[in-house]
Amino acid sequence: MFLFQGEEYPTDKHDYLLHFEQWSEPLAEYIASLENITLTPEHWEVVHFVRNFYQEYDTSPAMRVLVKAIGQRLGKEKGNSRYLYSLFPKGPAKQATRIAGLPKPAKCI
Amino acid sequence: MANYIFLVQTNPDDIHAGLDAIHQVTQIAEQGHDIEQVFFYGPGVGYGHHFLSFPAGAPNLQQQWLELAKQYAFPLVVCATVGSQYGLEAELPPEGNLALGFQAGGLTDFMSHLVNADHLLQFPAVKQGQAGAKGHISFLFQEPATQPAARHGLDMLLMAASLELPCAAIYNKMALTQLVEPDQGPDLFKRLDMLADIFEFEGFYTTAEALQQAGLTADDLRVPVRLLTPEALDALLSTDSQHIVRF
Repeated sequence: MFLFQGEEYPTDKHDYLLHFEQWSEPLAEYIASLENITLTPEHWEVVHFVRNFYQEYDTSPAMRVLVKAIGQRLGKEKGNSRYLYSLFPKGPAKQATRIAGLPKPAKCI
Repeated sequence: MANYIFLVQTNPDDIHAGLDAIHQVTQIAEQGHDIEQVFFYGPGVGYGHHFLSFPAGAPNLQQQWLELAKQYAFPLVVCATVGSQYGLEAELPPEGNLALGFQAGGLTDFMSHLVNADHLLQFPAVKQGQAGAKGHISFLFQEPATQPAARHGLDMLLMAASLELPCAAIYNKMALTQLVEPDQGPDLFKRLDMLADIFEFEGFYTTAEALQQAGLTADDLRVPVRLLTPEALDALLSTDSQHIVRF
């Protein structure tokens, strides 16, 4: 559960937000702080990207899918793991989806 | 000497099929071939369950797998994601309920082994591709959309496409329902869209006969599907396939 500004936000067993629609930008900043990340415009771009991806495909993108999809839609200079790891050092797919209020991406993909 | 990879999708409760798989692995190992990996997928993930037991009078197939793996030094890998859909938390107790001797793994790992393997043996048993053919991996879809195998196969195809392996997805009459919007329940459309949009995958095939027997036209299908003659389909499956994976 996230406790933020006096509100309780239920989470799943991986500590990811349970209800997609309860997400807000201030909540994202709070979750990012738990990940020791301060969100810059570059972070926001990825966070919004994975949220849109989830709405379109019903899937939290795992790393390989994320790299491919970002490369396709935001350009090759962003669709590579070096760039994404510079933003989300503990795993771009894992951290960006958590900050974006999505379920954890599948382990095995 | 050749190297083999095994894909086990039979439920542990299916003793007959389970014995068949163990028998074949034993034979191949005894002939001195390398077994790269035994991958448990779909209902086969049940083999990795710590609490699995077998009915009285039936052999303990989990124990037999563990002994074989130890004797011939090959890994027993359980798909972690499908595992969670079957109540398997793929870590050793107390964190999870994975049986000691099994590893949690993923489709990435399986596909990377598969592409380097000489032979794939799948259980339930299936006709195999030409050994060593430098072709693609054929995904042969045979179950209607309502079967979990449809989703398991599509996830594996997605993984193969994300690794940029050459693949063909072949649909028989029953399986064409996977490409059509269902009356109820979840559809596979978002995964199909991901294949087409993100991975630019175009290798969908069926035959005109199958389409006609299913009472469908190409316009009913979510993705563009190429129509092959039965002869061309046979060629795709036999000489042009490095491996065939059946779902």
